Amino acid sequence: MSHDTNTPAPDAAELGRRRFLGRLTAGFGALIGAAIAAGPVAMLLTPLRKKPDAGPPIDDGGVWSPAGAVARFAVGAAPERVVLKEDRQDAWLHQPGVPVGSVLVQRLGEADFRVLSATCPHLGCSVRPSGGGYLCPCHRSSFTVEGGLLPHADGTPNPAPRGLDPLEWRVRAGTLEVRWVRYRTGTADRVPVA
Amino acid sequence: MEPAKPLPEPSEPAPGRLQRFADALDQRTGYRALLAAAGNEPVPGGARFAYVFGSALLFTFVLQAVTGITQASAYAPTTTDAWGSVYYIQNQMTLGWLVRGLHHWGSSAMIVLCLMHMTQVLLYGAYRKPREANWLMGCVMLLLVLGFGLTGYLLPWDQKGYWATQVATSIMGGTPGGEFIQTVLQGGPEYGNQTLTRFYAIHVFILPITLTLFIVGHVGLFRRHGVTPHPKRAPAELARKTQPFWPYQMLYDTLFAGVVLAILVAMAVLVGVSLEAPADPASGYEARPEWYFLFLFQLLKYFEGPMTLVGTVVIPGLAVAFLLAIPFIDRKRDGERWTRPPAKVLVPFLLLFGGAGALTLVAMRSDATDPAFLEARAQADAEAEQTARLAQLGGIDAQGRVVLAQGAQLFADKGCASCHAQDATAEDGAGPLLGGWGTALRVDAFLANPDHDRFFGKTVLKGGMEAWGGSAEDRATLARWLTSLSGDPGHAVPPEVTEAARALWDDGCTDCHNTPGVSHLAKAYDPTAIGPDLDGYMGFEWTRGLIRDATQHRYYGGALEADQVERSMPPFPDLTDDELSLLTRWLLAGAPGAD
Repeated sequence: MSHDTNTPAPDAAELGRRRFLGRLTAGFGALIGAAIAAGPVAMLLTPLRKKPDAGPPIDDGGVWSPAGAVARFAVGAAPERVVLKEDRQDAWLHQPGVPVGSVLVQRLGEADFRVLSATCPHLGCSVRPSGGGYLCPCHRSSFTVEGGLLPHADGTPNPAPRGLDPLEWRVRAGTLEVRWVRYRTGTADRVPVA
Repeated sequence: MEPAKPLPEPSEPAPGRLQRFADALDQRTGYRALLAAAGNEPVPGGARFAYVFGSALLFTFVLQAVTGITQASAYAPTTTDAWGSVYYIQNQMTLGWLVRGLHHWGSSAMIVLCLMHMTQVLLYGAYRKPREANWLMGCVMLLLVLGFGLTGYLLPWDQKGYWATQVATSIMGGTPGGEFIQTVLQGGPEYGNQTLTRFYAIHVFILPITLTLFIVGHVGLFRRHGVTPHPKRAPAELARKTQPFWPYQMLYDTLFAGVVLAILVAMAVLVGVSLEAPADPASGYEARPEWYFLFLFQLLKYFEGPMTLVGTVVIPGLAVAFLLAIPFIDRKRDGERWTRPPAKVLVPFLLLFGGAGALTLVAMRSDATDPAFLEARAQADAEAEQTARLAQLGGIDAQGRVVLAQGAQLFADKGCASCHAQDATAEDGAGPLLGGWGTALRVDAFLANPDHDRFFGKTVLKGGMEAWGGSAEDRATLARWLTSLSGDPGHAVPPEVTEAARALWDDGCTDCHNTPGVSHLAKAYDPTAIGPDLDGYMGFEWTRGLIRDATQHRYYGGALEADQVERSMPPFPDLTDDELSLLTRWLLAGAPGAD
């Protein structure tokens, strides 16, 4: 600093004064910083709120997604992959008929179905029917047709922490309806993602 | 190389963990020397409030960056999503209105602070040698700040921003060679997605990066040349009263930053920031720029034809040229002592600012006393409020349309209001008012008095429907059940209500109406029934069909001849399916804003 020589050498009282004013400034500055941060932090944490979404509430009927006419599934046939669609409130947009996930449907009897989520409980890839059970193409998690864990024949480890997730279903007016739930991946317990 | 820190004196307490960490950090980074260099900047003559404006600008810029980045995390720069995402920030996200409010008022604060900073620097004569470069940088930075205001105004894609920015880019297009710039800036001959993405990129990347580089240079030059002292003080006095920047000037700066922030929070809370209806290129709108551009807007009014260029380019260009020329107009420096600027600088400067201020006041005044503008303003405000309400109620569809606002707009545009309004103007008299359509409350009120002016009172159907003679409680039960016939899950009733209502229905309604749910092929179905068929009553398809073609038998078939219906409620074959659906959805939401 070219002007440094102009500054008188501070004595002890002056240094104390500076320390006090410095702390006052720092404290006041911290308050201002907190005041500025409050709005942005609250805004960014909006997704933690229970119902942050705009638009009309989607009535309970919307949670049940149609998976197709009952007649489409033959009793005893191999499991079939079906894409579920829902009306979604995605932040500001109301989007009808958005694909939300796919399920594996097997008709066991006249009015009896097995509906499993096709989302692999390991890391969320999409599993597919394979050799009388299901196989995840990503890390070779394998499942029985009932959705249970299937040990590999060659003794290599099966990375899935749990079996495929069963989903609730019902038959309404000749249509199979499924209640779509996404579960947390990578855990042995079945925890719905809020 | 930093000399090694001396060991603490034995009498002092052993350093704490934090102290040891700070020591270690300093050995590795030398941060203390850096802080000391930053804080020891001498302020000749001591700290002053006059010096706070530059740091207040820096503070406001940081505030704009923080609130801007936060909003960028929620904003989508497309014509279909921009309005919806800003609506979402403003009305749905926690404290989103505060973040957006601070950003909006922060832009005004930056303009005000720029002018204060510039005035202070000018009055201290601080543009003189060797500080000319810093003055020039400051002038460019003022233009950058104005650029922020211009580009940011469009981003919400609401009526206000859309039309005001149209004016600005049109001015640009009217200048020699400006059409080229306009087309490139807009990303095409007209406003569209490319306009938003380009303005967005300019607003959040190009301008902030440029301004940041300028700030680094500006502050660097300021530190190189030092604080310009008060022009009236003698050098000896200045030297005697010199204080270091930290903590003295910093305390003033921080206090002032607190005042600025308090004012901005107050503005955000008390005045807020508007979000008008989504941009509608087909609508008329009384466009006004933000207040800091009003003087340019007013200036345009005094020129026409080829002279327009004088208002749009020549005068603003001369003004900027004058500001840039100031350090070269006045080069005199009175030895060691700083002096006030001479009249040849001061007078044009005051004229410039006074002129801009006067033009701003004239523009504001002429708007404030213009009944047509005030009415348009009030209408735009009402529309803004209504649109926000309708977005809350009916959502925004994938095309970015506020669904219910579209219905309300069609109701107005397609002439529905000429019959279905309190002040109906149609020759053949008024139709029923539509407020509360599809709700049990409306059905209940209708049953109580079908010939009320709200319902059949002013129509050919007056006297056609008997008022409910039973108790109000039974009437409410019947109304709830009738509303449930729409099939809408929101209007579903428990079985006991259906049972009770059916008993009431069988007790008198069947004289004129077929019972809902009875097959048209059944023996019990009477195709000559006088009353309308209530299957799906007030439901989506029922309502949709009624608008499309009320002459269908299910509506008034037995009660009115088709030509009678056509004269009263004509079919609307020219409505597209989309328009019909939007109208129907609006009606089923209770026709908000209709009565």
